[in-house]
Formats: sequence, C-alpha cells, structure tokens
Amino acid sequence: MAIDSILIFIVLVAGMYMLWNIGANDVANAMGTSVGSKALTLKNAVIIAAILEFVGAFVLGGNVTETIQSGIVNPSMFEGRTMVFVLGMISALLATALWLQVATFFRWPVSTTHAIVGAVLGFGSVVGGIHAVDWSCVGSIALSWVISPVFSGIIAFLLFTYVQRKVLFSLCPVSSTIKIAPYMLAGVLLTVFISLGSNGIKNLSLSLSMGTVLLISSVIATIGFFAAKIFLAKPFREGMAIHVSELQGEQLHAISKATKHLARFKMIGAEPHASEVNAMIINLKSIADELRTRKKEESHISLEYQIVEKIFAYLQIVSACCVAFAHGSNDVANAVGPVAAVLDMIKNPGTLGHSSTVPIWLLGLGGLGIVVGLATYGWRVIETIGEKITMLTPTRGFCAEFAAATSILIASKMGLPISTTQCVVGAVLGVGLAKGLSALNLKVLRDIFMSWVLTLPCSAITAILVYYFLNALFGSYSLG
Amino acid sequence: MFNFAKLFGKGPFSGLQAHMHKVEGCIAKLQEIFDLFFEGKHEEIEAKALALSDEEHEADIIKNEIRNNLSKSYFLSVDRSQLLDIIHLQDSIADQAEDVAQFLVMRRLKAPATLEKLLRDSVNKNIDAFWDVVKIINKLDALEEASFGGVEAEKVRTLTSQIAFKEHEADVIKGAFLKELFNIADDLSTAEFYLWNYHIEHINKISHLSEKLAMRIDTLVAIKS
Repeated sequence: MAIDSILIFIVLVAGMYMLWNIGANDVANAMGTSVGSKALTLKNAVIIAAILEFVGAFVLGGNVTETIQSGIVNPSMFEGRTMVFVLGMISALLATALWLQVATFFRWPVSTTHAIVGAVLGFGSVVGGIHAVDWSCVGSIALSWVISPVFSGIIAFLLFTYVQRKVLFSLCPVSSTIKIAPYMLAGVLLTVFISLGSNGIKNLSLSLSMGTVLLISSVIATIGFFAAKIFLAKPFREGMAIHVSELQGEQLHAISKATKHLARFKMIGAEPHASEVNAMIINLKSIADELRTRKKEESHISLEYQIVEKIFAYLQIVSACCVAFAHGSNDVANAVGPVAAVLDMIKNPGTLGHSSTVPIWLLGLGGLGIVVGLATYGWRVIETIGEKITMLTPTRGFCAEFAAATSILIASKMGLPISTTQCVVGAVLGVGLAKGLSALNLKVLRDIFMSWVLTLPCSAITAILVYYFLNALFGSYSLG
Repeated sequence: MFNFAKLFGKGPFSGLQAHMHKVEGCIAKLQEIFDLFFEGKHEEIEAKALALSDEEHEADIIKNEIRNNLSKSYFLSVDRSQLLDIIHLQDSIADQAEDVAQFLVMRRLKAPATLEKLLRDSVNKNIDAFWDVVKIINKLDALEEASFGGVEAEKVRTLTSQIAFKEHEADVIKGAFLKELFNIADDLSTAEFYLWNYHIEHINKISHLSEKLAMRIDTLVAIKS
C-alpha cells in the first residue's frame, strides 16, 4: 500500500507542476492578443482566462485527456505488467516537466503538447514494444499538428478579408461595423456552441442529438444577435454622425467619376453639344473645389477607425473568452492525462484501461492548477507579451482569436492534443496574408518546425531515461 | 516556451515617416533660401545651403537604415520593392532640393522683373505640391489601419489628383518662364542663360517627383473599395 501512495504522490506533484507551467506560460500566448490590442485590461484578461480556462478544462477537457491517458499507448498491452505502465506514465510526465524546464532556460520554442505526446510515445514504443502504441492514433495526432495551424490560418484569412470588404473598405466604416457586428457575434456563438455541443458533453453526462444542438445554438446566437443590436444602437451614434461630414470623400469620388465620363464623352466626339459638356465639366470642377475647401484637417488615424476598433474590442472580449475556453479544454490534458492513467491503473489494476472516462474531479483539479499558474506567474507573462504586440488591433485580434478558438475547439472535441500556440500563430499569419499586419516575422515558422522535429525525439529519449531510473528505484515492488 | 511576441516585427511606415520628416526639413530650408534669394541677401544663402546639405545627409542615413532593416524574413503588408521605391522617391526630393540650393549659390544672379515673378510662382507651386504629398505620407499608418482601402484611400486619391494638377500648373509656369527666358536671351551672358535654365528645370522636378511619389502610394490603394 505504501508504494501506491508514494507513486500517487509523485504523479500528483509532477502533474500539478505541469499544470502550473501551462498556466504560467502557455495561457499568455492565447490571451496576449487581447491585452495587446487593449480590448481587455490585464486584470480583466486574467479574470476571464481564470474562469474560462477552468470551465474549458472541466467541461471539455476529458476528450483529449483520454487520448493521452489511453489513446496513444494502449494500457491493455501491459497485461500483468501494470507497474511498468504506471512507472512509464510517471516518467513521461517527469520527462516533459524536465524538458520544458530545459527549453525555457534556453528559450527554445517548444510546445507542452508536443513534449508530452513525444514522452508517452517514447516510453510506449521502447518499453511497451512497438505494438503497444496505437499508430493510427499517433498518425492522426501528427496530422492534426500540421492541419490545425493551417486551418486557423485559412479561417482567419477569410474572416479578415470579409471584415476588410465590409468594414475597412466601406466609405462609412462605423455604420458598416454597427451593421455587421451582430452577425459576427451570432456567428461566433453559433460556431462555439455547435462545436461544443455536437455529440453531447460526456463530462456532464449530457447527450444531445444534432438537432437539439443546432436548435439550442441558434437560439443562443439569435439572443446574442439582438443583444448586440440593442447594445450598439445607442452609444455609437456620434460615430455615425461623423461619416456625414466625411461624406465629402464619397462625394468627391462621385464627382470625379462624373467628370471623367463627361471627358470621355467629349473625347469620343460630342460635336453638337461640345460647349454644353465643357460648361458641365467646369461646373463639376467648381463644385469639387468647393467641397475640397470645406474639408477639415483630419487627425492621424481618423476617428471613424478608432470607433470601429472600439466596437471590435467588444467582439474581441467574446473571442478572448472562446480562446481561453478552447485552450483550457485542450491543454489541461497535457498534465492530467498521465495522472489519470496512473490513478486509474492503481485503483483498478485489473480492468486495464477499460474505465477510460476521466474522473471529473481530476479535470476540476486540472483547471485549478492552470488558474494557480496564471495567478502566480502567468499574468506577468501576459503583460510582457501584451506590451510587445500593440500592432494587433481589435479588428485583427478578433479575426485571429476566433479562427484559433474554432480550430482548437474542433481538435478538443475530436480528442486531438494540439499546440494551441501554433494555432494562434497560424491565425495571426492568416490575418497577415490578408495584408492586415505591417510586418510578421517569418522566422517563427522555422521555430514551429523545430518544435515538431526537436521536441519529439528529445522528450521521448528523456522519458525512456527517466523510466529506467524509476524502474531501478521502484521496479522490484509490485502494486496493490 | 514559444515566445509569441517574436512573431510581430516593427512596421516600415514609421521609418518612412521619419525619413520624410528630414525631407520636409530640406524643403523648408529651400523655401527660406528662395526668400533670401528674392530679397537679394546672397551672402546668407550659402550657410543655409550648407545646412540643407547636412539635412539631406541625415535623410540619407535614415534611408540606408530602413533599407538595411528591411529583412527578408519579414512578411510585410506592402510589397518590399514598392517600399524601396517610395523611400527612393522621398530621398530624391531631398536630393533635388540640395541640387537647386547648390546651383543657386554659384553666381549672384538678379532676375529681370518678368522672370522673377514666374520664378516665384514656380517655386511656390512646386513646394505646394510637395506639402500635399507630405500629407499622404503622414496618412500611411491610417491607411494601413484601413487595410489600404475605404475612406482613407479616398482621401489619398483626392490628394493625388490635387498634386497631379499642381504638377501640371507648375509645368505651365515653367513653359511661360522658358518662353520669357528665350525672349530676353540676347541680353544675358551664356552663364546666366545656362543657370536660369538649370534653375527652372530643377525646381520643376520637385513637383514632378512629388507627383510620382503620390502615384506610388496611390497604387497601394488601387482598386480597393
């Protein structure tokens, strides 16, 4: 019995350390965009992150946790060797924690997700044998690492192109924003709730048919739509008034077009009406001149776009919530997965992974661990990152966050452990490809690639080494 | 850990604007030089012309900094070659101002009354066109915020057509000046004739370059909205 307690203690401590690490470092990459664009103050960002990371982990964290717990390495292959499996999972967790510590020290751009998957894979294939690993599961995880950032990028690109066409290129950007913002909100809510509710939510033992999910989601989206309409109806009136005086731009454009057409008419040959056409052109020119002199000097970035950004800042609060929720639902598994595997194996050594549902209290604990990491250290990382990415304004930030949140949520739903940071990076690059950001450092692509090829073997080898060390310590004992 | 902030580089526009600020200094000095020229205070011109050269050199330094920092690993919202074109045009305006100032101190010319009025007009028109293109450059960050379309683009378009018109007016003035110059050519020495000709040609290039610069920015906003 004593050995059980020691192992449980070790795995819990290692798990809590990993959770703290995720809260301290990873959350910042997801929330920094909102702080950078000043859609959220640091305090509000931390509060939102704390609540929604917890909820995400608690409600939707189970799927990915199961994958790490029993998807990559099949526990039933360890029939009669439960101690090996338990030690292996513990060493995977310890190796990841160790590797992250080293990587942080050298500032290597690694991902927690890649580290834990690599560690579990390494121990499973070397100690358990090649057949202990479910290679089709590993294949789909590897595929999702490539697909998820690309997918986020594509969504962000399309969404930002839409915002460009509808708002930024509009001649009255404020009223266009007021017009499309409710649709945006409804779209976000619809996407989030459909991806959340499809196939039901296992943790809350909620099974929903697709029809019910669609119905509930569209009801929520409709409520959001009208709430946004009512909310935006009043406070931005002054903003709408601006475009009346700014109409001059549009008027001037129209007049210059008219002048051009008349000039063309003259060129083709306006013989009998030439003098009339000339008079008209002169007339138009004097109107244009009069309009031009009426034009006031504008400030650096005109007020209209400032108001547009203000409205998008509200939308970005919603998208920030989605990102925090999605992040919690995916990354909690990195720490909780191995813990769940060990606890499950120690408690029911006979069933070998058949009771694969993750205990709900463990997910709650996972959420709590992330929140603690966030509260003790993570807020500072969010602050530094936020200060450095001021060029990401709410229009851009909203598109990037929504795209990232969507692809992370889909991955969480499918039980695929992906790197949330890489999804956010993919989304930001998508906005950049739509010419939304003035300068993006493409060297980070090399970093991402490095993270794939470097982390996997390193954490795998570390896990194997840690396993042999633990085996030397505890290998002679048996469980139960 | 992956440092997310590394993804974002500094945009090139603040550099362009800093460079343009130096060019503005050159043109402001050129204006002062012409004021002195028309007042006949030739002895003060020389010092001003040297100050202008200094400012032009400072602009050059900024230009080279921008060029060197335009690293290939950055993905920019504006095409790299277009950016280089823009900075090149900005810089050539400063060069032009320097050329004009340098030749103005070559010989203490006194313009005949008929020429002087046209020369004044030409200087004013050209410098006017330049200040319009300054407005466009100062709009670059607003333009980027608007993704190079919409109302901001419309403003740029209006300014561009305004500059194009001023360039045309400047050309007309230059034509009148040349006509007058050839009228009185027999009364001038060869050196004087050459210098007047040189002055008008080179002053006129300021509006020409300003128009070109405006057109470059205009191509950034083309067919959006």
